Amino acid sequence: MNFDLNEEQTLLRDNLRRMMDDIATPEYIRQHDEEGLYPYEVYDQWVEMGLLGMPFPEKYGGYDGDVLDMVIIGEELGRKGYDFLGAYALSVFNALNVLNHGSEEQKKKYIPQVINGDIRMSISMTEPDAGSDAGNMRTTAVQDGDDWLINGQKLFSTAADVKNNVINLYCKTDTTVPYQQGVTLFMVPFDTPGVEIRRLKTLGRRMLGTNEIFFDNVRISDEMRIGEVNKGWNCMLSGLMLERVVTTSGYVGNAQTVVDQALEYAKQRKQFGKPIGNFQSIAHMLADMQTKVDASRMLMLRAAITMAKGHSALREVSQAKLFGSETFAEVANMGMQILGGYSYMMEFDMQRHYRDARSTTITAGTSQMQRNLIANTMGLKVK
Amino acid sequence: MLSFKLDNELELFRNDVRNLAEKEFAPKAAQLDETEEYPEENKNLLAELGYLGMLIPEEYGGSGLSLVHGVVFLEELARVCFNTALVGQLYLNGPAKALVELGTEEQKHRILPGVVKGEHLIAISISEPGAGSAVTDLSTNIRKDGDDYILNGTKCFTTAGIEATHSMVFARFGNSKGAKGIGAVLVEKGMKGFTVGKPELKMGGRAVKEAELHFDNVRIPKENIIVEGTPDSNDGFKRLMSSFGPERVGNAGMCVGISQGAYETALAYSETRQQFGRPIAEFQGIQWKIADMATQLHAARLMVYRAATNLKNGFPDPHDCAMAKLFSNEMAQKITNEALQIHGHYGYCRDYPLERMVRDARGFSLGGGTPEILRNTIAAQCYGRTFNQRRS
Repeated sequence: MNFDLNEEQTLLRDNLRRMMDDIATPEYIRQHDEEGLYPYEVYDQWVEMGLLGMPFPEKYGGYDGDVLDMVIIGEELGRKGYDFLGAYALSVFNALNVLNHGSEEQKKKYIPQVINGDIRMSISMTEPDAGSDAGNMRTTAVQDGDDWLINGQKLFSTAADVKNNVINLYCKTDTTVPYQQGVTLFMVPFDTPGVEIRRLKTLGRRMLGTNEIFFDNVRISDEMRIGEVNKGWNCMLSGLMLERVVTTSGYVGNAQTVVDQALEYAKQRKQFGKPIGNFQSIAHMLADMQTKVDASRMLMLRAAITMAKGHSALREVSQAKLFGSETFAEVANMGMQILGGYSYMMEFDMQRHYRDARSTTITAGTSQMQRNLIANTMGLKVK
Repeated sequence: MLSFKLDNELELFRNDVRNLAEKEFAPKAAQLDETEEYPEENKNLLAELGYLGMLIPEEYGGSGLSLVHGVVFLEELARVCFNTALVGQLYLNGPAKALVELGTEEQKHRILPGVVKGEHLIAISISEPGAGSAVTDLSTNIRKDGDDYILNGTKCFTTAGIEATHSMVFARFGNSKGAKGIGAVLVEKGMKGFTVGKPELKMGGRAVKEAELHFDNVRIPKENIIVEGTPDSNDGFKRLMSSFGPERVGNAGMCVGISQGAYETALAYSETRQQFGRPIAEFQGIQWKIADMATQLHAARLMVYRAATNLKNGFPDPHDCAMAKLFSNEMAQKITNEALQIHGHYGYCRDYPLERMVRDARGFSLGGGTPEILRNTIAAQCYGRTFNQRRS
């Protein structure tokens, strides 16, 4: 297995890093976190750079990139904070659903709009009683002539209320069958009448925001349906592996920043007449942190490479997601400890990494669900 | 025989505090965090009911209760509202307790009755930008000038530095180095040359902010000297540090309290939250989390009660204090985080108290002697000698 980047991949990484360093300055990130502002300016730069087109075929305006290109992007965006990858990934992953399950007409219409920044996309699946148990959802869409009428409530929907957003909504279209057979995927522009979005207050990840969405007789034309009726579960599953591995690359990027910042501090900060990094206990903490981040990166790359070869990678991806998120949370906690009292102050970045990291063992499949999946691939039937 | 049970009187005391905390403080806990406003009303109520002076001897207007009462009190406050507990800690175990131990009779009669009534608040001011864990590097300087003293320097992370009427400031007498020459003085609000900087916003305990204190040729009357440092001795510093043993015990007690709150919330949630057609409490993965949490909580509580009861001359054993605070600090992080995890994404949202508890609990390990410094203390005790941290 070759973990080295080729020339093109190196160029992609370097260009992206330079661009992000220029625009996503520490002050910019702090302000957007503090005020809960979506990073529109950064997103616009991605559009200009063509980044949104990476995984899409040339005929729709894309660059035919593969999963490795995606994890390179994920790690670079994640370096500035996990939410940057979140903003990018939401549009791209949902547009990939259009690519994989939409009609030719939908692909021609929506994919170029995502690539050129005219629209953004977000996902909405979780409900108050349907979290890890996603199949328990109750939001329904009922056919009404050529349209669908949607009613229900969704929860924890990230970046749903941003400009020109199209919500990719999973809801029940047949309540008489098990969930795998009765869910359908729709595109619902966020400003459609009857859609009410309420931002929730969260511990972290405040740039993108997490929302509750109410659907009250929302009328959507059948043209907004993606894939076949009652086959939405397949849409959801088909993208899941790519989503998880790219998400994990964002964890790796952000965790690396945590180590970099803690290391820098340990070299600068003097106590007892010497840099605290010269104390064995602090040095060992940093050694552990870098080792775990590197291990996360290796697990993530193994999953990506396995996928790039076209193999099933359920175990590899689940392991990478589990270890990557737990590592991110752990190193952020250690980073807090290394920065001491300063880390607890809002004007330092470490508290933000810690707050952001805390979501990662929960979202995109909790650590508990990843463990179930891994154990199942080992021949266990976990109940 | 050893008995690890609290006696009846203490259990009744706990019930009183719990009822009060649930009725008066729990409903406002989220709001205090959100608005970051000092819990003035809660403090007034605690003063009115006599709790703020509970550990202060009766001759100064207090009730002279035991350190264990203080722990139980802080536990119950922290269980529902950490910000209120933090205020309690300032009145019970921090500088007020140190003043009881180290102050002159005149100082105690002058200041402590006001503490009991909630009119005086003494803040503790030790850390400086360049002297955190390496506290003996502090450079705030005090020198004699006629009958008075002149104080110069800057302190940071002074909890409730804005609200405090008095600050107990660690300072260096003369041109000494290291622990030698360190003593403490009382600086009063309004003294010329004393200014309080803007609040330092923090991740948790947000209603009780920290501040920088600046001393620019502040004239301190000799009546305000608590411990006078002498350049050839570290005696003053030692006496000061040992008087802060109760603060460490109180800090550990708050860890137990906040963890108890998080544990109870998670336990109840796991019984009501249904996924895959059954309460998540039915899954072994969740059951074991709860079992681990309960075990760690139990261990921490025993360590804290031991530290609060194993007294010499009224003060806890430094070794007990260090181990109780170290274990409880790290336990509180683990338990609040596990409780959040059991709540899934609900735990990440502010409609539930978990994310607040995680933020609040994170601060325990960053002040009042970090776990790293406590490990140094404990190791020194284990080896029977201190290790020079400055050795290159």
